[in-house]
Formats: sequence, structure tokens, C-alpha cells
Amino acid sequence: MRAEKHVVGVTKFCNYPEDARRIENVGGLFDPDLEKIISLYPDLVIATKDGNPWHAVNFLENAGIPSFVINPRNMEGILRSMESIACVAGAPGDVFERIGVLREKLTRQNPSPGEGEVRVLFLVSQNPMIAAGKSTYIDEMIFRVGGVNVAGHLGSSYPRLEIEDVLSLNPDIVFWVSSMGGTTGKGQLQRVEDIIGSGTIEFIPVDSDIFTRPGPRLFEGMGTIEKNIRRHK
Amino acid sequence: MGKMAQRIFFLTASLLFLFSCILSLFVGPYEVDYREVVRGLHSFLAFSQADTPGARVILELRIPRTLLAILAGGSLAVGGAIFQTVLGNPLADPYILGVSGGAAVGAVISFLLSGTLGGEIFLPLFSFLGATLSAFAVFALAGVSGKRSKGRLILTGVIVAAFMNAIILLLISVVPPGKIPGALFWLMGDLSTATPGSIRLLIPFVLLSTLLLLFLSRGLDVMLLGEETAQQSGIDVEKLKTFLFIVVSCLTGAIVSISGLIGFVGLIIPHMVRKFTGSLHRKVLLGSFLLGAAFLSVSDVVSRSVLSSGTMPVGAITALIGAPFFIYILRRRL
Repeated sequence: MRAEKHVVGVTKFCNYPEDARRIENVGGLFDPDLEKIISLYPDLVIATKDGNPWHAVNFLENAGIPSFVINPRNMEGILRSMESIACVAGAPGDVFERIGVLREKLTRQNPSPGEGEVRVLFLVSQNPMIAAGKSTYIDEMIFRVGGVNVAGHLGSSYPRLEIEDVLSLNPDIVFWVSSMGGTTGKGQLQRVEDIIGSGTIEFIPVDSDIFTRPGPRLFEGMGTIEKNIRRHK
Repeated sequence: MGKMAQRIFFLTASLLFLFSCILSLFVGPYEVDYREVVRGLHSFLAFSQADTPGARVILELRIPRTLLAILAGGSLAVGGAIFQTVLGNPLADPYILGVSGGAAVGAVISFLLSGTLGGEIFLPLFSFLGATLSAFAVFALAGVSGKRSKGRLILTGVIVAAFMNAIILLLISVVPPGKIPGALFWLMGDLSTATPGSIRLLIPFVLLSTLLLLFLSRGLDVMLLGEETAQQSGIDVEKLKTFLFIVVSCLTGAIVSISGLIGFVGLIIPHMVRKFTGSLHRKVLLGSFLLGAAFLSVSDVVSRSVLSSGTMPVGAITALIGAPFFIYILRRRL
């Protein structure tokens, strides 16, 4: 959004773009360092409804620091949040144009399930194995590019799975995040492959940051899922 | 308790044990028929490979899981029964000497280093080392002039456990966020990590330890009369206590290094068994093994089946049942 020179503090998880690492660290998502935030005298704090504790936002409001809370629930919601932040940050007009390009890209994605459908399992964590289930961005991305999320019918948004669950869901492709969960290799997925036989399921490692952070990189992630589904068809 | 009632108890416990084993082998999200179960069992016994995916599910997943539930449930219950006698405390369990805290510290360290070290051997190795080192530390710190009073052992165990908890909190606050869920799930107990290889290592260890403990059951019976009486009847009480602490702590450390921390089995099962068998340890230990194994197997089946959205940690199920029972014991006995 070209507003980086206005940013005085970021969370310890903020690593994109690379310059974000050099900005003052104000703690985590669930445990922001309120004293540090106040000491930076921000004009505005941007928070998320699901991540940041409401009492922290209230505390900052009472301290005279206004907050802008975003709550994106789907891909369109992410675009709207980006537009809102661009507005409050006073971003130049071409930023809105770029968001418009992403919106066009999103509306062009027409799901075409049916014959030749590809069954997809997306693991947002590998140890323990946790899948992206219903009502998640990843579920929406898989649907939009014509895949079937095999964890979409399970009871929760992020169900915990075991090896036998993965086998019974019978996916064609398993996307797994390679930089989270404490393991560097395939871990438990290797056991899945040993049981079902090599080549039956395609295992594709992906970068967790791209898929788990609601921002413009999700569209890059959607492209990765689409490319692999098309190749599989 | 009459002999007939004891016979009925052992018959019921054996049937429950068998039923829970069969249930654990047949229940799971992947559909298998009984022929695949038989083929999987045959492959396990013959040390051979299974030929179909269904038989491989039985061989690679359900048999190790069922056996781990049996070994862990049985061992924790036996360990609890022994510590309750040796420490003369109805609320003692196999973790009372800080085994759980030490194992947890070892496990969290292994999660912290997993990116650096690689290899899944480090979780059981580190948690076993943590468990046994912690138990030996408690045992050493509680000793004064070569003697360890029950109260001093329990208090030292509690303090070491609190110290270990502080280390865990400290470690979790520095562990990268992606590694925390793995550590937390391990802390709640997880039988899915069992493999045919790890179980084949565990079986002789558990069987030998349990047989050894059964062999020492007569000494435990005498200790029920008080340490002085036991000493007068020719038993070297300090030696026996030391030996029992070492065997039970190593056994518990080996179990939790694979299963994670599973609470309440070692606390509640021995109390249930004593109600039917009386206090003779040969019977208490045997009954505890059977009932502990059945309880954990059934809890594991429940943890796999109760949610439509994946699996619950088995430690949560045993605690859900165990916590109310713990309160019941507390109100009845104290």
C-alpha cells in the first residue's frame, strides 16, 4: 500500500515484506505488548477481531489510541479489509486499482466441479495434522478453482486428523505446509504414503505464510492450488 | 470380599480387556473387514508385510495403537497401585515423582530442536531421558542420611513438578508458533504415534517390569502393615522402596515417551480394583493391569469416534472421566 513509512510497530510474526522485520516489534497476536504500543505514540492501531484480544483494543481506546478492527470472513472480505486499510492509511489511488485487479481475478474464478473433479486435502499444520475445513479461506480457494475439499464436510473449520482419517478421506492431492509444525520432512504423511502405496496420493509442500495470512499473497496461493489441480486433471 | 466375587471380577475384567482390544482393532474411520484384520494380525505376528491397504492400516496403525493403549493403561495402573502403597497415599499416581514434568520438558525441548535435529526418534528419547532424570532427581533430593520419608518424597515430587512446569512455560514462550500445537497435543496424550517398531521394543520392557513388580508383591503386602513391621519381618524396606521407585519410574518414563501424558489412569484404576480384590498386591496388580488396559483402550476408541470433526486427545477423555472420580475419592477417603 506504500504506507510503510507510516508503520511504527508490527507483531513478532510480521515478516512480509522483508522490511517489516526491521520495524519495532510490539509482541504477538494474542499477547500484544500494550506498554510498547503506547510508547510508540501511534495515531491508529489496526487489529483483527479473531486474533487480537478485545480487552487489549479496549485498553488502547481508553488510552486515547483509536483502533480499526478488521474481520474478513472470506476472500471478498479480505479485499474489502485491504480497501478499508488503504482508506484509513491514505494510500494513493493506484493501490485501489491493484486491489480492483485482484477482485477481477477472483470473480473470474468459476468453480466447475463434476466430472474429473480433484479431491484435495489441505493441511495447515502437519504435527498434529490439522486440515482446512469448511468456512475457511482455503476451503473457498479450493472450491473456486474447481477442486473438492475432502475435509469440507467435517464438523469444524480446522479438524485435527490422524493418519487413518487422511486415508479414509481418500484425497488425490494433499497440500501440506512445510515450514510449520515442528517437522521439516513429510513426517506422518510418509506413513500415509507407505500404507496407501507410492504415487496414489500427490503430496505437495507449500509455504504456510502464503496460505495462512489473509492478505494479497492468498491470491498467489490460489494460483498454486489451481495449477496443481489442473495438472492433476 | 468373597472368593466368588473376586473370580467374577477377574472374569469380567478379562472379558472387558478382550472386548476393548477387539473394539480398538475394528473401530476407525478407514473401513476394513474382518479378513483384513486377520491378515494384519498375521503379518504382525509373522514380522511380514501386509498386502492390501486395509491390512496395512491394521498392521501399521491399529495394532500398534491397540497395543500401546494396553501397555500404557496397564503399566500406569500398576505404577499407580504401587506408589499408592509405598507412599501410603491414596492420591499417589505414577507421575508423583515428577516423571510427567520431566517427560514434558524433554518433549518440548525435542519440539524446539526438531528443525535442527530432524528425525522422530528424538521425541521418545528426550521425553524418556527427562522422565527418568526427573524421577532420579526427586529421589536424590528427598534423601536425608540415606532415608526418604513418604512426606518428603511427595513434597519433593510436587516441587520438582512445579519447577518443570515453569520450564515448560518458559520454553513454550520461546518455541516458534508452528511448533506449539505439536507440543501441546503431546502433553494431552496421543496414542497415534505408536509404530510396530516402537511397540515391539516396548512389549518386552513392560512385560519384564510388570513380572518383576508382581514378583515383589509379597513385600508390598507386608509394607501395608507399616514400614517398621515390614523391617521386623526381614524386609529391607529402604532397598525395596528404592528398587520399586526405579522400576516404576523407568516403566512410566518409557510409556509416556511414546504415548504422551495420560492422566488419571494410574490414580483411579487401582482404587476400583481394590474394591473387588481386597489389598493383596498380586491380585491388585493383575486386576489393575487388565482394567487399566481396557479403560485406556475404550477411552482411545471414544476419542477417535466422539467427534465428527477429527480426533480428541485421549488424555482429555481419561481426564473427563478421571477428574470426577478423583473428587469422589477425595471426599470418601480424606
